[in-house]
Amino acid sequence: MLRKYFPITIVVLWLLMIVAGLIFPFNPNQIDLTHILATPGWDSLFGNDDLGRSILDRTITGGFTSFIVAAFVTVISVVVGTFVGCISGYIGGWVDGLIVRVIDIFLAFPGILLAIALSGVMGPGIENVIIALSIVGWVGYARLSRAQVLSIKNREHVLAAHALGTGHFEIIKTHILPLIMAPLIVEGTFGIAGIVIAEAGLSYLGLGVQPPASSWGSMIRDGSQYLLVAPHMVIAPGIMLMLVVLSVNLIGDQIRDHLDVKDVNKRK
Amino acid sequence: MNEMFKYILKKLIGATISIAGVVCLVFLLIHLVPGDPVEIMLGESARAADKAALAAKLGLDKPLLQQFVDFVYGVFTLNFGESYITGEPITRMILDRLPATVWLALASLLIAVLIAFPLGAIAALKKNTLADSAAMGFSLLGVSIPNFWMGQILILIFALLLGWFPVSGYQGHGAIVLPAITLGTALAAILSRMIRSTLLEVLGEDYIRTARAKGCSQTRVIVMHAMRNAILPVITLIGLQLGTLLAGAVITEKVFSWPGIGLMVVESIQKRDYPVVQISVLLISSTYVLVNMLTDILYAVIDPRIRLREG
Repeated sequence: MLRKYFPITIVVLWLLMIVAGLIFPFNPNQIDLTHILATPGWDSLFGNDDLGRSILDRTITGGFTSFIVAAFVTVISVVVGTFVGCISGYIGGWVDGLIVRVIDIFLAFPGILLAIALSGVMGPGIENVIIALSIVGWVGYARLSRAQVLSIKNREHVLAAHALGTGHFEIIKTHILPLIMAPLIVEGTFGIAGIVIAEAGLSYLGLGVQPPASSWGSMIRDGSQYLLVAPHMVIAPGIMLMLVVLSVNLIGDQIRDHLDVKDVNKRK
Repeated sequence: MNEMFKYILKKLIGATISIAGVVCLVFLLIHLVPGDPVEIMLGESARAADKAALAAKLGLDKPLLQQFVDFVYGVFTLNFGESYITGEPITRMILDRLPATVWLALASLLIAVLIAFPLGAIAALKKNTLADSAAMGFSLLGVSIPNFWMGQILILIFALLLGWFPVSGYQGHGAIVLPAITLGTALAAILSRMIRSTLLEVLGEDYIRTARAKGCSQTRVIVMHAMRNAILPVITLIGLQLGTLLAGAVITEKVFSWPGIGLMVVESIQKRDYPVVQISVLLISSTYVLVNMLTDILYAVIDPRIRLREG
């Protein structure tokens, strides 16, 4: 029971943060000098930060930031990656060879180094974070969908569609895409967790959202200077970050088991 | 040995093409971005003369193709230019930072292996028991906790409250412990999952049953028969991860002010020292490509099936 509903609850909570930000009058940027570094209590649930701002409010708006980034990056990466991967696998020949080379080059950058370098050169800001993470993110989906297309493009139903004179676009759309969706959905779910961490990481380095806007990563960075006097500044956004990533990963596991996708990473 | 040679050649060509691509991408890094890089480096209020001087110094006033040729020539002759802020040769800066990163990478790897092998083995042997759930729970937690938060919490507990280790930096006894634990546990989380799943596959094989039937002890079955066969995919993963670690665990180095390559990248970005950013990213990625290539080759040396299939 706990295993099943806990992650959903957390993700719903995360989604509520977006709605809550629109309905309730939060004051994430309200500076209150009488409450500087105030510890958690009844009047402010998560305490206050170094400028006396409410950490609860900032955590909620930080959740909004991380959701926006995760949503945009995932959609852009999945759409672009799947498109490129399908084209590559379907056409084959030198086009495929070229695209595989490009994919290999992007994969030559370890971890989020490329995203860090890109956002470093582009400068901070939420749009730049989205662009940088998308540039890095599409590659995985391209590789996965290409491998999937290769494995099913010679199946009988695809050959039959060819024989019937179905257009290439139509074949990809109705005969191939539905069959490769399951692993893409699984990969996409785990991808969301990765992007939430990446966004927080970039913000932690000061490459994410601009102050005074809040992000869990930048809250942790701000709090690291007051670690001994006000550990709650680091703990509240960190726990939220961890819970969201953990839940998304658990949901990914559940979806994978449900859709019966074998280990995605093994299908290279 | 012939197919081995062919296999190595194939991997070498692949790595060369990847590195060539990385060189192009890194060169384009500051040109792809909208806006004048010189203006970004100096700020909008800089005087025209200063801008022209910097552009000339970095060669940004030349035609793009000429710049590219110069850049590639510099890379080939290992003349990476110098930092535009301190004037120090970039090669020197990187060599200064390299030992810290290598030490941290090795220490983290050691911690990861020490945690992951027992954990993965216990989880596989006691499949579907409490021990298995606990081990995999730890693994999931390790994947879900970002390094920079884990680092802060470790600093809070072990450096500030208990005072066992220094908060940050390179000097002093035990300075490496906290950053290595941060990176090592994250890596152990991935590794132990992998070890569990490969061990589970192997444990169902006939030769394990045979080993058990002829009276081998449990330890001997695991260490001599199961582990040796399960270790191949694990080696690939360790290779990949070592590449990432050597590449500078950028964020972790920043958390602990660990003076490695990763911290240098972050500092150069903050100082807008783009030549240093470009060259470090280039070197980090090339190292990563080379380590991965060596891993592939090592894998093929250990397991002849690989080179026969692909060679």
